[in-house]
Order: sequence, then C-alpha cells, then structure tokens
Amino acid sequence: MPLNPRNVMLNTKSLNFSRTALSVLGGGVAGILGLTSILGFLFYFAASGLLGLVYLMQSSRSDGMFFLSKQQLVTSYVFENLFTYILMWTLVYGCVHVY
Amino acid sequence: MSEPELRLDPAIRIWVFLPIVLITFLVGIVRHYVSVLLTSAKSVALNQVMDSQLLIRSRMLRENAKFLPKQSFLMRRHHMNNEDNGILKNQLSRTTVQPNPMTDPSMMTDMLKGNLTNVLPMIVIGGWINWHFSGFVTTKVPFPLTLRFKPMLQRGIELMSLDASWVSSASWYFLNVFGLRSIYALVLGENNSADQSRVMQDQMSMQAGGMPQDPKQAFKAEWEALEVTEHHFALKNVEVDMMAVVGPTGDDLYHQNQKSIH
Amino acid sequence: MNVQEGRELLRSWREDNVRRSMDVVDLWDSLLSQDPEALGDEKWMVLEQVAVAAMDVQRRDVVERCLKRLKAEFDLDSIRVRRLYGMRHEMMGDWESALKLYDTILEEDSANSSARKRKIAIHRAKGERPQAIGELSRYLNDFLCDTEAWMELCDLYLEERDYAKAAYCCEELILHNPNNHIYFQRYAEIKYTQGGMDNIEMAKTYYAKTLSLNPDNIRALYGILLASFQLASSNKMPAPKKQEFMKMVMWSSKQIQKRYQTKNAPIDPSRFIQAFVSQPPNGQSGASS
Repeated sequence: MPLNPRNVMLNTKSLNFSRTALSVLGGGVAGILGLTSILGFLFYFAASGLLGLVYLMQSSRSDGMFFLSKQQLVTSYVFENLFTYILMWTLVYGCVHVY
Repeated sequence: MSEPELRLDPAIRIWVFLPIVLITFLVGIVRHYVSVLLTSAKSVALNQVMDSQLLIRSRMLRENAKFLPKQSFLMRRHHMNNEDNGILKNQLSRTTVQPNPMTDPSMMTDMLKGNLTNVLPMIVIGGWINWHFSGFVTTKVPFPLTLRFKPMLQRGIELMSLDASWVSSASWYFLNVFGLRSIYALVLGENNSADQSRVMQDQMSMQAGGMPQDPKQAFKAEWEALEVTEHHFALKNVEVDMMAVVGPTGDDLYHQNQKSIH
Repeated sequence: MNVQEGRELLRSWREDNVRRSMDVVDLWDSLLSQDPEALGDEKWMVLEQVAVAAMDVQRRDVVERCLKRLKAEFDLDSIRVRRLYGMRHEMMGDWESALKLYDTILEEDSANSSARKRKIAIHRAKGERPQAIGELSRYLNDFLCDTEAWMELCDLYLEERDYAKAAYCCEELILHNPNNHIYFQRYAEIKYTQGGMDNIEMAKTYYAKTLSLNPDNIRALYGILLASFQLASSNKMPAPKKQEFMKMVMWSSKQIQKRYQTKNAPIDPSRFIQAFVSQPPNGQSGASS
C-alpha cells in the first residue's frame, strides 16, 4: 500500500506533541489539586486514555486514514511523557503545597 | 488534599526550586546549539555510498521482484549473485579493515566531541548543584518512595526519620533532566542534541562510527535472502483486479460497439 | 498573495522537486525580489531555487543577482555555490569552464553526485548521446538507487531506439516505486513497441496493472485496446483466446467512450478506435513472437 513517509512522520510528531502537552497540563492540574501517589498516576493514565478515546472517535468519523494502527493512536508516547508529567506534577505540587 | 508534614522556607522555592528548572532547560538548549556548531560535515567516502546503495537495491529487488517478468528477475539475480562476478559475491570476498577507534583519528575526535557535549555538562552541573545547594531539603515528590531510595535522593541530609519523599536538590536536578527530554522535542524539533539519554543508549549499542564488520555480514545476508527468493508474478491475475477497479462491462454498449467496430 | 504564502508555495515546490521555472521566476519578480532578506534562514535555499529556475528560462539578470548574493555569503569554497556557477557557465554555453569547475568539485569530494550529473547533462546538451549514456551507466554503477538517473537513462535509450535496455531501466524504476502507475504504463509502451506476440501480451498485462493502480489512465485504456486487438488478429492464436481478446477490445473501447462522455469531451473517440483497430496487425507478417 503506498505510504508517504513524510506524512507518517508528521502525523506521529503531532501525536507526540499532543501527548507532551497533555502531560504538562496534566501535571500542572495534578499538582494544584494536590493529588498524591497512586491518585496522581491514575490521573495521568486516565487522562491519556481519555485522549486516546477522543482520537479514536475522531479517526472513525473522518474519511482519511491518518495512522497505521488504532493501537498506535491510543498507546504511543504514553511512557515517554510520563517523566514530563512527574516533573510538572512535582513542580506545581511543590510550588503550591509545600511552601 | 493532604497536609504536608514540613513547612519549607518560601525562599527555597524562589532561589532553588525554580532556578534548577531554568538552569537545566537553558543548559539543554545551549548544548543543542553548541553541538550543532561543533558537528563537522560528514563527508562520505564513495565506496561507502556504493555499499549502502547496493544493499538498498538488493532489498528492493527482493521486495518488488514480483512486479517484474520472471526473465528480468532471474537476470538481475544472476547479475547480483553470480559465482564468478556477481556484484554481491564480490563484496563478500572483499577484505575489510576494521577501523579501530584508537588509531583512526577522525573517529576519535567524533567520539570525544560527543562525550564532551553530552555527558560532561551533566556531570559538571550535577556536581555543582550538589555542592552549592546542599544540606537542605528541596522539595517533596508527590508519591511515596521506599526507604531504599533515601541515600540516593537525600544526599547531604542526615536525618533518619525523614520520609523518603523529601528529596535534595541533586535529585531534583536529575528529575528535571529526564522530564525536560520530551519538551526539548517540542521546542527544538526531532533529533536534537539535548536529548541525552538517547545519546547514551546510542553510545552503548553502537559500534565505532558505523559499519566496519557489518557490510560483510549485511552482504552475506542479502546474498542468501536473494538466493532464496522465489518469483511469484503478481500480475498474473491483474486483469481481474483491473475489471474490479475500473468497472464492469455494460451489455447495452456491447452491441453498440460491435456495430461500430465491424 | 503575501510573502508568507509565496514562501510556502516555493517550499512545497522545492520539496516536491517540481520544475515550474517560469512560475518561480514570476513569483520572485512580483513578490520576493524587493526584500529577499526578509525570508530569514530559508533565503539561501530560495536563492538557489530561483537561480536554477532563472537559468532554465534564460533570465540572466536574476541569475546574476542571486549568485552574487550567494557568493558574498558562502564564497566559492562552498561546493553548492560552485555547482551553481558551473550551471551558469552551461547556460552561457561555455562548456569548458563548466567542466573544469565540476572536475574541481569532484577532486574535493569524490562522492558528489550532483557534479557528476551535471557533466552528463553537458554531454546531453552538446548532443553527444553515446558519451552521455556511457557516463550515466558508469554513474549508475556507483549510485545504484538514483531514480532520477535511471529515468534519464531510459529516455536516452529510447532516443537511441534501444528498447531492450530502456526496458531494463524502466524495470529498475518499477522496482523502486511499485506504486507509481506511470512507470508501469511506460514499461508497457516499451514492450508494445518492441513488438512480437510475447511482448504484446506482456504489454497488455502491464497496461492492466496501470489501470488497477489508476483507473483513469486513458493511455492505458487505449493501450489495452490496441494490444488486445493485435493479439486477437494474430494467426497463431487459438480461437478461444482470440475471443477473449476481442472481448477485451470491446470492453476497453466501451470504457474509453464512457470516459469521453463523462468528461463532456467535444470529440467522439469512436473514430480513433475505428482507425486503431483497422490497422494491419503486427503478428500477421510472420514476425517471430
């Protein structure tokens, strides 16, 4: 099946961008809310899953095929951005609650 | 919302917490631009180009041979794998000299430069932060950690009863390094040199500079794969496919055409 | 259109390697030449692109301006700038200076493919086809996967009427891009021109593949029509096969007419179809298959 590798790369890059933005914002929210330990991690995975679901719905509604596999939409880049989430979470939590 | 057990001086927040974040971020960006300046233009030797292209061509032949007539495929395979003068066979019998990192000066300098720009700043700045911001607790990570992490994360703070979640500035620095990786990807674009951990992985798995022994093995693998490839002409039933794609015949126009042609 | 849009357009043309030299030069004249510095970091690539386009349409003033700016920044040490100066010599017809310049580039960087390709282009411009073919074959021994070069070699062989070798080049193109219907169509046409029953059957198969990739390829439809008719009229074909081929003739002519109707074309293709299928078929003169 003909694939345009440049477009594939652009699509995965934008997916990465959205996931990173989610981790940053999610970390901020988690810090402000004062979530700790398990709750914090659950929040991250729940938010990632929600984002994945939103993408799935959008891709089934649109005509074009933007990604090779549905599984990639939902699960890619989750663990790469986990550290970013932890960083933002610790940062905002520290700013708001510890001081 | 849980009440924290310790109150920390807000001054820590302004003068330690946030500055470490800023320092890590800015150093990463500086490192990226420095490595862009330092990387020398890699001039590829002609025979390396030939090798890589030969491998690509052989792979293309294997993957897409089904679109060619059988005769053409056999002719090409013979050209590549022939006992006497097949071009893949020739590459196999070529003796390769493994470029030793110690003796090959250009590779040495590349490795040095790589190390310099990536690992050194991390160690230097980590050490400086540890020395400068030592002796007090910097922040609390929001999740509980086991006691095993205490000596690692609480360098410089000698308190037995302190929860392992309260960490020192050095560990906050390292958390920053890992966390900002993804953000560098956003800010600087892909393949940026501020992404340290990937560089460290590369250094561990990569051989000296490229493919010293690999071409021979790659050629051998290609040669064997090509020997084994069979030719299944993909265009045998293409007319059926074509009918399906283009459209069926309509009977009314059939008669009309018969009149117009005969 | 403002500068930003013009920039985007130029970049898309650059990345897709489109040869729209007149449009590029027009865009430069109307929009970008007032203030090329505003383009930022992209301006070097834009200058190179505009210079090459201007050479294509013989706009010496634009060429001089772009090259002067590039030389001021990068000086003649840069291989890319030197290549542009070589191309400028070619535009003026000064082959000797161009060749000398490309030779200096190759001394410095033996793996530089663009200098070698320019030398081949000089041979072609001078009309020295055999030398061009020789140089290009040697080039392709080193750079086996350069699709552009294989296409050029295919064209050269077609001009020399060496269809077997042109078919070989076309097969290379297919190997590298098996999803491009144009390559299959071209291969089919080469096979059809070679003649002989086997080749014409092969041509028909490849025309069919072209259509399965792109159902709107009219040339392929005509190709199937002609190939099927040739096969159907051959003496050596058994009767059931002849019927099959005649059915294909019917089908393809019907498809062609349908296409012309849907596009509201002002001409009626049945005249052409009539003309094509009333030619004496190739196979009947006893040519070997």
